Amino acid sequence: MMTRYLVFANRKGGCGKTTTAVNVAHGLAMKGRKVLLIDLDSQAHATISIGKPSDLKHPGIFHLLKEEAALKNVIIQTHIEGVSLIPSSRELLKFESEFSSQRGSETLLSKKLSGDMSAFDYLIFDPPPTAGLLTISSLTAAREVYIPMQMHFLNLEGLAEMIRLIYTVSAEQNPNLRLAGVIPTFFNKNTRIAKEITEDIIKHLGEDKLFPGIRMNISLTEAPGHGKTIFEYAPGSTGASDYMDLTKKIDTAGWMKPAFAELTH
Amino acid sequence: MDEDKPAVGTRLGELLLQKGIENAEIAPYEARIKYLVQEIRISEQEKEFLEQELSRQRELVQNLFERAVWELKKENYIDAMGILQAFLLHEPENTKAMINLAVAYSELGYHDRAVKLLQDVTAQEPDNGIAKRNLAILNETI
Ligand SMILES: Nc1ncnc2c1ncn2[C@@H]1O[C@H](COP(=O)(O)OP(=O)(O)OP(=O)(O)O)[C@@H](O)[C@H]1O
Ligand SMILES: [Mg+2]
Repeated sequence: MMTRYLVFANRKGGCGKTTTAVNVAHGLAMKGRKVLLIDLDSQAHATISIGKPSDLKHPGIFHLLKEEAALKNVIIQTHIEGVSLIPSSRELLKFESEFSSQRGSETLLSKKLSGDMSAFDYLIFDPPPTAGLLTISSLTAAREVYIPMQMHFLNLEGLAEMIRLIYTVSAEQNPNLRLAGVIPTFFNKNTRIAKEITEDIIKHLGEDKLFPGIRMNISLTEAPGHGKTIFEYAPGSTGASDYMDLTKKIDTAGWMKPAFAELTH
Repeated sequence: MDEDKPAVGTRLGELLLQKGIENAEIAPYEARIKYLVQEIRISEQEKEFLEQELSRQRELVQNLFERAVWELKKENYIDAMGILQAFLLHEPENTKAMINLAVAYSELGYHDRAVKLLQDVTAQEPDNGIAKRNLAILNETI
């Protein structure tokens, strides 16, 4: 299997990016896949959700990007078999402020990951809720973008903006990048607005771009506080079954052809 | 399907259109092509600029040679020597310049340098008549 590079991205905060990255990572590992989760957010929520407290002190993504540590020295094996992690920490803020104005910084991450990644079936990036350097870096390094999104009217503008951003990055930095899908989060399929937005997505982006929704579920809110994924914390919950459905869909979607012929970058 | 009143005011299609995305399926291709066209334009501009720069440099070097000839004719051997040495930095194999520099050297009394230079020319071009003749003259005047 060719390694797949996924990113769950949205400029909008709190839409479920990290929850999705962490739980899809575990879901894929349950299906026997080897996953490397890369925390790109200085809030380090993915690191806190799946790692140990000491991981925040471990050399991580900041040290990798600053050339202070080699790739193999920043990868941590988590307590979940099959899930490795490149942790983040508050220091990452410094990277963003220091490098944002430097030309070409958005390719640093993809260059760091350009070596042999065949030990992993999946790389999953968890970017911050901005359209800044770290999000652009993740889009430059990834191949499939999934947009987790709450089905609110106000979020449609954000969705359109994300699509434009994806097309810009794929035009200028990463021809291999494609919009893979939209993941409805905090989803209630019975509301009128959710129905309309769902129809709209199908109409304008195509049916294949609409991924299984994740319902609002209190266990999903609680799990990170226990350092557990939903499959550990509440395996019988709707959250667990929704994330398993999503995981299966992503895994069987397989490696889809990139928007353009394979190019080096 | 009910076309009554949608709960959503502005629809995704309109929002995409506002961002210049008319058809989401083909937009990434259009964006990539637009970018490549721009890159081609920038590359062409750079190429044009470099070509101009190159011909300007060539002209400057050519001017150097002509100025040196002029200085030689005016018997300004020191100036001619400096200019020809500079010229030969650009075109170290140019035998015409070497022959002229040998003239300047011999006029300035640098006999050995002149001989050495003319020997370099005949090594490069064994049939160079001017170099051979000048060498013969130099060897007579010892
Ligand atoms: N389906 C859900 N049901 C209930 N709570 C959820 C659900 N999805 C996420 N949450 C909770 O909502 C909050 C925000 O989710 P999450 O951290 O995944 O969003 P995010 O997009 O990564 O946020 P940020 O933009 O800050 O990185 C978290 O407390 C999370 O536990
Ligand atoms: Mg997050």
